[in-house]
Amino acid sequence: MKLYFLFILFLSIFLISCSKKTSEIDLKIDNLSIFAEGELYEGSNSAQCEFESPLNAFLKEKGLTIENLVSASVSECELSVADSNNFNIYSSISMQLTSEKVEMQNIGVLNPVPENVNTILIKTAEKQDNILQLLKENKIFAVADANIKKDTAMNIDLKLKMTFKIKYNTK
Amino acid sequence: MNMLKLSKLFSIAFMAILVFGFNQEENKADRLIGLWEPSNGKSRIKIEKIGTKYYGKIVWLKEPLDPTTKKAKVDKNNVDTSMRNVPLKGYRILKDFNYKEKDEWSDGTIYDPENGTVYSCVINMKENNVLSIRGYIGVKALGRTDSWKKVTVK
Repeated sequence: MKLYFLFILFLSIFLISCSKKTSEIDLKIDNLSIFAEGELYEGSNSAQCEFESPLNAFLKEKGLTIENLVSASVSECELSVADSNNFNIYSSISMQLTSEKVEMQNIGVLNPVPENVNTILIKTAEKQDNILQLLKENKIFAVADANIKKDTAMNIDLKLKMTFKIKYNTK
Repeated sequence: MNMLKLSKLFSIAFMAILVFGFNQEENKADRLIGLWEPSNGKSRIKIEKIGTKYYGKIVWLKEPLDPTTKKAKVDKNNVDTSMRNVPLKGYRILKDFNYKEKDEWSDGTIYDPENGTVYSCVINMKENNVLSIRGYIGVKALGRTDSWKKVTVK
């Protein structure tokens, strides 16, 4: 009986020591300029920007490889107006990410957009399948699809901040 | 000296042919860009290019309001319940198409907001200003084709 107990104990210790430890980190992308030149017409208008994945710098810093990565999602997406205007001209904004090799992902929507504010938080999607694949690409496109309430001569000129939640194995 | 000049000339001519050929391919591919109307006439789709791929979004709806809520239609059948608040006007239903030569754009998907399903899709330009859009699951034989006409904005 004692032998059996010792065997189970050693087996447990062995399994625990071999198991991978999963950690989590927030990678932030700051101050991206997302732009479309006016005139803008009532209805759907799009603006986009291109940015580099923050993953390479993170992997280098931690001494990890792509194989260590478990999952990724967009946990926060914030838009603010670049000038002294507010969001009153917008009725809704949805956000997507895409790259040359990975299909476009919906990352969230805000509908309706509140009035008299100059910063909004996009409600992020619960289902985010390929964010990790996207982040493995060097060049990523962020696309904002904005519904505009009326024709206007102004530009879409927004600042984008995003937080990516990354899960990774440390062993 | 003359040989050097000649080889330079050849290099320039070769580069010009390459660039010209590339531009021609790009022009062919970009014929997809524009405003299109499906055969049922219920919507209009604007196709644009992001990076090297083509995407289409709904920019006009014949009936923009939901008959039940009397508000602007939203993507109420999305399998992701958190995204059912996305307005249909502006919704990207065509995604990730690459030009494959012979007037065909493939590798993309089409979304049917009426049932919340994403289908594989291939687009062919049979004649100028008419697209053949085939949505399918798995193999191309199991699908449905619709004809979209180009809308000319005056």
